[in-house]
Amino acid sequence: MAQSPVLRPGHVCLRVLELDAALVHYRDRLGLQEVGRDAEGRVYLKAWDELDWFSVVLCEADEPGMDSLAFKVIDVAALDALERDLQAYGRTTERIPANELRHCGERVRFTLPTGHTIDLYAHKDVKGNGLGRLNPNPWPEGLSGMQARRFDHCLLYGQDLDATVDLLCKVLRFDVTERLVDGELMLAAFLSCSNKAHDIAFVRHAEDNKFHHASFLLGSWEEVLRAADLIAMHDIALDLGPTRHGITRGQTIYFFDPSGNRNEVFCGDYTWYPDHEPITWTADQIGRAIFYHDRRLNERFLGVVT
Amino acid sequence: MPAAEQEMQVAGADLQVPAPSSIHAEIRIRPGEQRFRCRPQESVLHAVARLGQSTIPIGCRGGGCGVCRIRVLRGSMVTRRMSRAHVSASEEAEGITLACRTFPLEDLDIEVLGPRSSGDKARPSLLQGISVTTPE
Repeated sequence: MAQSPVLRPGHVCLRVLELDAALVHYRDRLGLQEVGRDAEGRVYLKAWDELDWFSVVLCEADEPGMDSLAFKVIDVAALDALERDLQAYGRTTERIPANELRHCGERVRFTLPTGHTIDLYAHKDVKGNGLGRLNPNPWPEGLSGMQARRFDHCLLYGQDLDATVDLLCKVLRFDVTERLVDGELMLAAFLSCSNKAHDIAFVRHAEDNKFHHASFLLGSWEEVLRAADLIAMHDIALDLGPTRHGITRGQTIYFFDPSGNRNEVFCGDYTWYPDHEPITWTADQIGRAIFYHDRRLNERFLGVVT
Repeated sequence: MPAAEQEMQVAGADLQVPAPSSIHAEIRIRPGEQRFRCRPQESVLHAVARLGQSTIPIGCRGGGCGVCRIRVLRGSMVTRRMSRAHVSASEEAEGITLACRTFPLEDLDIEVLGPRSSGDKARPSLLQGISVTTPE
């Protein structure tokens, strides 16, 4: 499989019921940094160790959930080529002008078979991580809350899992790193465009365009446990954890923002290369695949989405 | 919901609700006589969770996922913003609400509705055919 021109998840646009409450959560608890607001009422945030201007956009709406998920691609030539490839594959694309999202270049937008809106872009202004690029220190002082290092991935729910995986692999050149199967039927798929164990993931679900969680990276298991303490200290709605996933090996904890959007903070995965064979989990091991320690399914974790 | 309660919807990060701080409202689940008490300024769902009950499904607890849908049959309450995907304006006028966003002003009679899309169709594939799950 050729190296993907897609670099990484770039940003997620989330709808929240109350912007002020959401900001306390994402800024003060998760530890993201507010980097701007626009005339449309959107708030832009980034995690401390990201270099690009923003990775989370919040807007107030009547229904929580995910508006769109964006990936950064290597350059404008790759963006143009991907647009042509998406159209040749049969997807409708549209161009969204530069700076519609402030500090973000032109975006190519399309919809996955599972109903989710995906944007691709080649340029975003650089904000930096506060450490500079010349003889830097390892971390900045004064971080808040869980001190999330980067926006890592989203898990999305939708019907046509097979068609979405096909598109991501054939056109965007993602690899399936892990899958959960019941005989011939794929129940869940984890895909990478990089060396991460996953950059995006999907679970088969009767409804399209549903959002399970946005995930943020922490530095260690100790930091995950510290996040669990913060969740208790601030009476944040806990979903599950701290625990480990069988799939991706991630050490993780899940909780809800004040509007009911699920977040994950986690650490640890493994290094993926395109020449690796994907991992398969079988349906009889679902408990262990998702909740490696507990080895039992949890209805709220699997069933509650926005 | 009467207009007076509409105006009392709370926005912002403050989790306190402008309800009388002395109210220990009794919630009665209809049909039947199952009852529990809310503490002052506690949502109906928060009381259910605190008491370790399984009468109302406990989801995101933020008004977003819709699993804790109830109908208030009698009694007044204050509500916070909840997803219109799960409770439309007309449903809200009929007394349908999300328990996690409902703060009683007095004793309430309620009916548990559960998520709008019920049944196996809406359950993710991972839960299809799985009948034994972790109790909350």
